[in-house]
Amino acid sequence: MSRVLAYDQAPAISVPLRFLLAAPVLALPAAVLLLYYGPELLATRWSAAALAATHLITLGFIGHSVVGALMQFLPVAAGADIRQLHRAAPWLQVLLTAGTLLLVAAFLLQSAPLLKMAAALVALVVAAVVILTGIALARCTANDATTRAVTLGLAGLAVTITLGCVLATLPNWAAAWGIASLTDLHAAWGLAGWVTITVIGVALAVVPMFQITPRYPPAVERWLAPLIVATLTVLTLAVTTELNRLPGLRELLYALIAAALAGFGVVTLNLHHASRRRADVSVWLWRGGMASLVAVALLAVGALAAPGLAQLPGFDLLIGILMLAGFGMSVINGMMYKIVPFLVWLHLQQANPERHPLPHMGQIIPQRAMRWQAAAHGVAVALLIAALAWPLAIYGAGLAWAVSQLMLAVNLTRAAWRYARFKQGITTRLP
Amino acid sequence: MSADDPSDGRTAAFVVDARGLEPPEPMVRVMNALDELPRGERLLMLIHIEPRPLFRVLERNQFAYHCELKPEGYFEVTIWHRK
Repeated sequence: MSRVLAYDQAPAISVPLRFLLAAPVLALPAAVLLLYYGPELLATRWSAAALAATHLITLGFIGHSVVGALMQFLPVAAGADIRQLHRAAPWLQVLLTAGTLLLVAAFLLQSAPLLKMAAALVALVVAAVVILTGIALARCTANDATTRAVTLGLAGLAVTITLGCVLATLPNWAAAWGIASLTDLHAAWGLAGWVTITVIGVALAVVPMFQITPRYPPAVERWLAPLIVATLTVLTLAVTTELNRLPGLRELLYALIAAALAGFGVVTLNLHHASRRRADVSVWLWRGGMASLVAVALLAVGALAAPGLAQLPGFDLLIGILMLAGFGMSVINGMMYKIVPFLVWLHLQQANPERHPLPHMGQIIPQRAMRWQAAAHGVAVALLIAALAWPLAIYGAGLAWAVSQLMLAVNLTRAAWRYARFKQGITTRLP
Repeated sequence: MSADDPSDGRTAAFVVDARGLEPPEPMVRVMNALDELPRGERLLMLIHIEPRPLFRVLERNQFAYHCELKPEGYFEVTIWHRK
């Protein structure tokens, strides 16, 4: 590495790592819920345990990972100045974790006052992230596809949380629009408008960079994220206004979103196929994620063609499992295995002007440990889906989930520990 | 892109071909090459993605650059010392 040149102003490694390390720790209690509640958890999407587990994944795993990734990604890739956000990072992480756990407790205890408190806390943290990031993005000059998609993803997160707050704190309003319709809308904005669009934005930059694939086609870069947001906006109007009376409109809009998701999944799978590199753990996790996304799209289009399909027991839960555990968690897990070793390596290089021997990037998290963890995650997702038909499989899913998230926490902690150990070694050797 | 125009007809004396290399290898190679780049010479970097984080590093270190997407789908980045 260069002895002379200064590197870019990336945030301190503790800023993104504190969020990324919290992600598997917050996903772990979902295993306890699977094992404690058993088949009851998957009896209906409205069960207290299902709602609690869902929010451990969405706010706990995905939420913490996305905020942590943005803290690193925006200054480095988009050149956005988010120093205020970096200074607030420790507080935001503690409050986001507290809000997540409070929300989970509110669902499990079925406590309306606790639900309102949790909604207020989560809304406060998300508002801080969205406002501070939004100001930084408005000031920065970057106008590439990734920055635009990440901005849209933040807007999607704001809408998701707003709808969640309406459901949690204004039951009379929610009832006027229909609790089920509004919950579907909250889920659609969360899964497509926030998670998928943020993944698309990050993927446009990091899939070609870290997984050595060709670039995404210009049409995908330019139109996919805005198309999803535009469709969700019309869907929101369709649910909350007179447009609701137009027959088939809502189904058509859901099918359009499904087609966009399928398009992203198929294009990404094709890019991986076109890569000349041997697939590693990260690529396999992304392939699993994209296959889940395509499966969701096929199910959604299938439900449009044969409305009876959506009425089958477990259909909603199958979509939820595929989107959250199959798609969202898999791609985030895969990208963690690229980004965390890279951050450790980069920060050690910057702290090492004397060029003392440092670990190779591939040694920061052992390949074998990543492979076993990814396999455990795959088994957990497969058994969760199997549990919709054979309820007792949920206990196997709970065990595999616990093993997977525990191993992920250990693998990420090991990377942080290696960083601390080598950093200390460098510091003590410096004159 | 840099404001300076490098198109004076000269070819780069130093070439870093980083196509198909996984991070951090492209950054390592180009930074090592820039350590040795004499004033008045230019370095040509070939890479499969637009190396946007590199651009700010170059600006911070008083280098000028010109980035061009080739029809074959990779980027050519020409780098030289700012006067």
